[in-house]
This record gives sequence, C-alpha cells and structure tokens, in this order.
Amino acid sequence: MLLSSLIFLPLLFVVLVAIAPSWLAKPITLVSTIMHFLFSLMLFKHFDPNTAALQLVEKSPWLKELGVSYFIGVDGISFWLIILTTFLTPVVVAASWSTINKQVKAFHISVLVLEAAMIGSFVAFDTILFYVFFELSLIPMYFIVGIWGGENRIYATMKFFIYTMVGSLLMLAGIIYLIFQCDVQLGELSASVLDFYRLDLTFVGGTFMSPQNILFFVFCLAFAIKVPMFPFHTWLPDAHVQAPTGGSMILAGVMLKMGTYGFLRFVLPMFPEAVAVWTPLFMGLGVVGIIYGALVAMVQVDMKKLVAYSSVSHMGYVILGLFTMNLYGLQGSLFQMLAHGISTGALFMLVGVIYERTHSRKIADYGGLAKALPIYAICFLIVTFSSIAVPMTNGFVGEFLILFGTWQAAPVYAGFAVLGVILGAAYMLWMVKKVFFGEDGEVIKKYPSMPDMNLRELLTMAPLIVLIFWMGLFPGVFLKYSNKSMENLVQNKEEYRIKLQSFRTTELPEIGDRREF
Amino acid sequence: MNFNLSELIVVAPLFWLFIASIVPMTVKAFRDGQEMNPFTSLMYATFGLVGAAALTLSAVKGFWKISGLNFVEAFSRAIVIDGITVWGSYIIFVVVGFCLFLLYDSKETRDKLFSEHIFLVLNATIGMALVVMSNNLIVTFISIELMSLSLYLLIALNKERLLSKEAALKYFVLGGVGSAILLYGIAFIYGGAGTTNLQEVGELAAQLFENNVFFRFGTILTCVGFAFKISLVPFHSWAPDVYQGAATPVTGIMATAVKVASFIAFLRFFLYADFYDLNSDQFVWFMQWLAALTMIVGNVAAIMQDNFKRMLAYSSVAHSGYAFMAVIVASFGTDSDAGVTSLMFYLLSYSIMTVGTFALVVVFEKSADTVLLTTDLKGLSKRSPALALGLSLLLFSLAGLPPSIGFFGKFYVFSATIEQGFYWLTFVGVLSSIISVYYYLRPVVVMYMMDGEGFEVRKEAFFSRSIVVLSAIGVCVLGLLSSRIFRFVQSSITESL
Repeated sequence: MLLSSLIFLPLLFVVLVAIAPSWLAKPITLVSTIMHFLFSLMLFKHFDPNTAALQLVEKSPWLKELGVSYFIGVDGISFWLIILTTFLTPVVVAASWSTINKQVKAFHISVLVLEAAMIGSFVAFDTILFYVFFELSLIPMYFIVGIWGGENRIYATMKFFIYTMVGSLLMLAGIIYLIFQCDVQLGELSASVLDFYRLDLTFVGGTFMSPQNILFFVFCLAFAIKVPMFPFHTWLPDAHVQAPTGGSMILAGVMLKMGTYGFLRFVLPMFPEAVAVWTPLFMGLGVVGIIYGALVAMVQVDMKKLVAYSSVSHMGYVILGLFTMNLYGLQGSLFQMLAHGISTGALFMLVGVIYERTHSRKIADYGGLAKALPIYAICFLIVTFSSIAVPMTNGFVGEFLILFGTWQAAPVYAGFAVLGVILGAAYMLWMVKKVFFGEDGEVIKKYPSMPDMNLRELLTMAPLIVLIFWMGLFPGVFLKYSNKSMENLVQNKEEYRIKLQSFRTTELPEIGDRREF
Repeated sequence: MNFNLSELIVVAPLFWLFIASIVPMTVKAFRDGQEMNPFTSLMYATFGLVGAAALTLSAVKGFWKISGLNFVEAFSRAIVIDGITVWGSYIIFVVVGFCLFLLYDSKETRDKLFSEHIFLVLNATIGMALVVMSNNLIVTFISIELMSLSLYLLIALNKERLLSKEAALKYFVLGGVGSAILLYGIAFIYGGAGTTNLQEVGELAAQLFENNVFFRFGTILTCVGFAFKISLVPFHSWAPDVYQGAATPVTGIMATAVKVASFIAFLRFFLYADFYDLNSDQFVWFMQWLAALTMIVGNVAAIMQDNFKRMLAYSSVAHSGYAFMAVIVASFGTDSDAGVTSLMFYLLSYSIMTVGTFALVVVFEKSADTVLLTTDLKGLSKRSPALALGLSLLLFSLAGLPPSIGFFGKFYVFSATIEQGFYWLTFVGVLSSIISVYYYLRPVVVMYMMDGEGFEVRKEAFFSRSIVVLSAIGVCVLGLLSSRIFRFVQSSITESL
C-alpha cells in the first residue's frame, strides 16, 4: 500500500487545501508536501537495491475486458525518480511562496495534483495506467503556465499542451495495438508492460512498415516530445520562459524526466531490434541536441531562456547515454536526470529570485551583482558549477559516465559530445561574468539597496546545494540503487524481463506464472 | 398477422408518454388559451418520462423472465426489445429529462408556448423510443418521421426570431430530402430482399449485396439517408445552422437524444447483416471515408468558430465520426459485440458531456437573441468558480483527456477499431482528436487566463447551473467507474444478441 499512498496522499492534501481559507493554502501545502517527502523516504526501508526485481507490487484488475489493471511497483529505474518528485515539490512550493499572489489556492491544488500524476506515472507498470497519469500531468501544468505565467503565457501553454498530446495520443493507439497482440501471442489481453516485454514483434530490416518499427517510432515520438529531443524541442523555451518560477522548476526538474523515463522503461526494452537499428539516429540527434542547445543558449539575452536551452543540451546527454545501451551510459543517464533535475531546478529558482527583485531577466541589464548580493552570487556560482559539470558536483558524474559509456559504444559521438561540455562552460560562465562581475549594470543603479537572499530563500536553496555536493562526492550511494536494474537491462537487451518480488518471499515467481497478487 | 393484446404492454411506455404530453395542452385548451404554471407542466412531463422509464424496465424484466430469453419481439417482429433498446431508451429518457429542465430555464421557451414545447418534445421522445425498438425498416422510417416532424415544429416555434425560421426551413427541406432518400432506399431494399424485417434482410444482405444491383443501390441510399440524420460529412451542412438557430434546449435534444436514436437505427440496419464476409471492400472504404471525413471536417471547422453554440455544433459533427467508427466495427468487423458495446458506451459518454455544455449556454442566455461568443466567458473563473470548473471538466472530457468518461469512450472505440484492423481509420481518429484539443481548450483559456468582464450568469437559471455541475461530476465519477459501466453494457447487450 506504500506506493498507492504515495500517489493518493497529495490528492488528500488537495481536499485539505480546498476547504481551508486561502491564506492557509501556502503553509498547508508546504507542510503536507514536506511530510509527504519524509513519508516517501520509507521507500529506503522497504526497497531492496540488491535485486532487479519489481518491488512493492500492487495489482488489481481495472478495465477487465481489455486486460487493464491497476498495477504499480518500483524498481531501480523508477526509485530515484519518485524520490526526486517528492523532494522537489516542497522546494517548489517554498520557492513560489512570494511569487504566487493571485488564486493561491488554485496554484497549490495544481501543484499537488501534478505531484500525484508524476508519481503515478513513475510507478505505473500498466501502460494504460501510465498513459492516464502521463496525460493527467498535462492539465495542472497547463493551468500553472496559463494562469500564473508571463505576457505570452496563453500561446506557450497551448503549444506545450498540443505538442505533448500529439505524441501521447499516437502512443495510446500503439498501446491498444500491443494489448491485442498480447491476446494473439500470449493468449490473454493484457496492458501490463511486463507482458509487453514478452511480445515478439515482427521486425523486418530494410522496410519501414514493419510493426515493431512503427511502434518504436510511435513510442519514441511521444517521449521525444516530452524530453524534448532536438527537432521537437521548440515548445520548451516558450513554456519555460512564460511559466512562473515554480512551474519552470517542476517542468525542468521532473516532467522532462517522464520522457527519458519512458525511453528507459518502454522503448529500449520493448523494441530491441528497432533500437539496435536506429541507435545511430538517436545518438546523432542526442549529439545535435547537445551542441545545438548549447549554441542557441550562447546567443540568448534572456537568462531564463538561456537556462531553458541549456536544458535541451543536457537532455541531449541523457538521450545519448540511453542509446549507448551499456551500463555506464544508462547509469550515467539516470544520474544525469537526477542531477539535471536538481541543478536546473535550482537555476530556475535563482533566476526567479533575482527577477522578483528587479523585474528584469535581461543579461544586459545586469553587472556587478556579486558586490551587491554576495550570498546570492555564491549560490549561483555553485549551481553553475553543477550545471557545467565541474568535478565534485553532481553534473560531473552524470556527464562523465555518459561520455565514458558513449566512448565505449561509439567513440565518434563521444568526440562531438565533449564539445558540448566546453560550450556549456562557455555560455554559463559568460552569463555569470556578465551578471555578477564587471561594471555595475542598470538594475543595480535602479535598485541600489536590493536585499540579499532572505532566510526562506536560503532554506529553500540549502537542500539543493547540499545535494549537489552530496551527489557529486558520493555518487555510489545513489548509483547503488539503480545498478541491478540497469545491469539487467544491459545483459538482457534482447529478452528483457523483470521479475516480480512479492512481499517477504525469497522465491521469485516468473511473470509468466501469472500469479494473482 | 397474429395480434396479441399482451404485446401492447411492450409499447405501454409510449402510450404513457403520449398521455403525459397532452396534459398541459389540454388544460390550456380548457382555460381559453391560458398557460398552465410552467413548473406544473414541467412536473407533468418529468413524471411522464420517469413513468415511461419505469414501464420500460418492468415490461422488459417481466417479458424476459416469462420467455427466458433476453429479448422480446412484438407486432410480428416489427418491434424488438433487447439490451440495445433498453440502453438506448434510457439514455434518451435521461437526456430529454435534462433538456426539459433546460426548456424551463430558457427564457425563449418558458415564456412562450411552453405547453406546446412540452407536447412536441415528448412526442419527439416517443419517436426516438420507437426508433430504438424498431426492427423493421418501415417502422424505423415512420418513427424517424415522427421524431423529425416534432423537431421541425419545435425549431420553428419561436416566431419572432429570423434565425429560428431560417433554421426550421433548412432543417425541414434538408431533413425532407434525407427522409426521401431513406425511403427510396428502403423501397429498393424491399424490392431486392422481399421483406423489410431487418433480421430477414440481414440474413440475405451479403449475398444480395454482391448479386443484386437494386439491393446494393438501396443499401447505399439508405446509408446516405441515415448519414443525413446523424450529420456525417458531406451530409452535415444543415447541422451548424440548425443548431445555432434553434432554441438552445432544443439544440441540446437534437445534439444528444436525436443523435442517439438515429445512431441506434443505423446500427440496427447493419447489426444483423453479415457484411464482414463481403468479397468487395469498396463498401467498407465508402463507410470508412465517411467516418474519416466527418472527423476531420468537423474538427477543423470547429476551430474557426467564435460562436460557442456553433463550435458545439461542429464538435457534435466530429463526435458523430467517432461514434460512426464504432458502427463500422459493428457492421464490418468480425466481432460485432465490441462495436455495439463501444458505440453504446460512446453515446452515453457523449450525451452526458454535450447536455452539460448546452446547459452552460442556457445559463448565459438573457433573451432569445443572445449570442454567446467564446470570449464572453471571460473571467468566469472568478465570478462563478463552480461553473468554470464544471465547464472545464466537460471540455476536457470532450477532448478525451483521462480520467474522464470521454477518454474511456474514445479508448473503447479505438480499441474496437484496432482490434478489427481498421488502422488508418484509427490514425485519422487520433489525429483529429488532437485537433479537437485546440478548440476545446480555448474556452478554458478564456475563462481562466484572460482578464475582463464577460456575460453575467443568470441567477434564475438554477436548473441549468445544476445540470452543468451535475454532468461535470458525472463525467468524472462515471469515468472512474467506466469499467463497471462498460461491462454492464456489454453483458446486457451481448446476452441479448
């Protein structure tokens, strides 16, 4: 019941927020999300990192006539993403404390619903259930960008919504096809992803129209838009720039990871032949994304837009690492997902902090901020180091592992991807130099007595900075949890299976046994 | 012809409805043309509907128990009552019930000729109830005409408004053409098959369709006639104008109950036919193109509408396309149960959502001439949060976002089409529902994200406001329970086939 309560507790908090007076909405949400985070730490007690099996499984039939069930569980791949979600949500609530002043209740309700949907999509092992949560997460985000966003928010939010819908509806059609394939091949309708792994989908080399190939691209499209991968990334800068600080943090911190998680959970194990054939394409797009994102980030005049394009670049690394299909690449990708979630979340928050004081995000307006706001400058510098992968920060571990894995799989791509590291350092440090050093900029003249970061902001920032170093210095602590699952994926890429681990049983039943839980 | 008095019990709900429908008018006649209190008339009408629903259920249960079968036939097999009939008539009764309350709330209908409105609506309901139980092409035709004639009058009843007259004329002429084509087709089918009983026609259908040119001609014409009634593209052109011109509660009835009835008539026409082993697939292609065009044209045209009611009209055309996909599965797929069940589920979900949105239009209509543009919803989230949230949920459901009932409706239809191998049709359906997201979200954008003052919410429209909220709750709750509902529909339908 642990996972179910993780999904549904936020919905319970929604009720609390809805009935409470609106001045209480912020404290209630903050306290309840912190409690939810602490509650989610129970996972450490129950999760066994020494197995690739699916743990804490709950299964009960839902749409019986189509084999759909309420099937949730956690394994090494999703473990950290769940913790990341529960960790970032209170941070987001605290970070938007002073920026959200209209329709306060509605904002916090949206955040809570979003949290439930994100956790749901990370624990769902039934594809239709996953789809439901995946789509459900769009609606609160749509409102967050649309109501509390900037000038051009309506355009941005519509673009975000429709882009994501395009991919996911096609994926729905693919899922339905696979459900009926289960009936044909396994003799029973099923929407469980574990049964999808067992399907033998025809793959004919040289022709595009073979079932596995089409399904591969249908699933890839859905997740590539969400990530976003290079040619489908255009919604991201718009959404990020228009979204309120909290919205950007969730979007970059967790929602993008739903896309890469989708690759890891669905695309790579389900379509092994197609993945093998199209690996060069996807690694190529990953590298193009890295370099393109970095180059475009270089010419941005808006700080938030710069961070948004740096996201495109960083997510390119994740894609690159995923398609190496070796242990270093996959582990690195997962680590990079977490690291990016934390460092980009922190960057967006810092941009929000300064925007609140000066109402300007233009890099050209700034200069000499380090003297005026020393604490802020230190925080910003630390996060920047994490973002450009300086050793001892979390960004380094992820990118290093990915590059290492890529070098083993395809050295050429690694050569180009390294360029991205250099470019990344260039644009971030260029921005830091312009904003914090040099001549005093316009805004300093305009607001000479700007307050430095206050206690709330520091307290919000502190856990992020602690994590940046913790993950950078002791990556093994974090990698340990996903190791077995990734090994399982690498070793069995042709015939991927996950075993089920029921409570307190040492004997692991094969999923083919169809034991009822 | 053997006629058994007990067969009258089967149609007792229709008699009951008719009796309820004439009460307000009779009272008016005896009072020298003075209207009854509208609320009393409304209660009579509701009483009639509830009674009819209860009678349907008890008659069905009784007969099914006596015969041990899951269907009853009456009047020389001209009428059949099975799972489809029961579900169809229940959807119709409930939706018409909601629309009666809308009629009461709408200024346009309550203050003028309310008892006539009640009479005509209930008589149209008799027509619809008869359509869903008809097992004979002639009965189908007559009941469709009964339904249509009542509707022509209902639309024309507002004498002062120009749009309403235009709409009535358009609907009358085009509806007449549709009926004529339908009758013409039925005549040819009779010529080919020698019977108008649907089951007997169905047994011969595939063979006759290949060998007999008259039968083929008749079948196509009948399809076209039905396509007029359910507004499939390219036979949809009357729908937007008529929907806009009619009083909103009447539009609500036309977009939901009438559509449900016509769809079931269409379904019955195909249900018994074994078209799935036709050698030529031209017919299937024709039908698939009808569905595909309907979805594309309906959704694309809806994007361009600023008038909320017209937008709903085009959206209703588009939804006809989705539902028609289920009809195609039922007629040309090997597993017709999947098609029938998903169609009934889709009609159920569609009716709930659509009634709710039309109720919202009634909430804003101060007078008969009010035109509600999408931008008039500005700031609704601040003035009336419940209504704004309700409409948003309904629109999300219409767009097919989980976990609302609209998503499950589409999900079941798409799974039926994919199971039967209609891949490109599903593809078109998926793409067009992406288009639909754009225009369904626009009112949400206007309500929540734009500042400004829109139309006032009419405080006296209590029933309409409750219907918006009720149907929004229904959309969510039924969505979560959709598995149970689907299985319930499935069991009640498959066991009777």
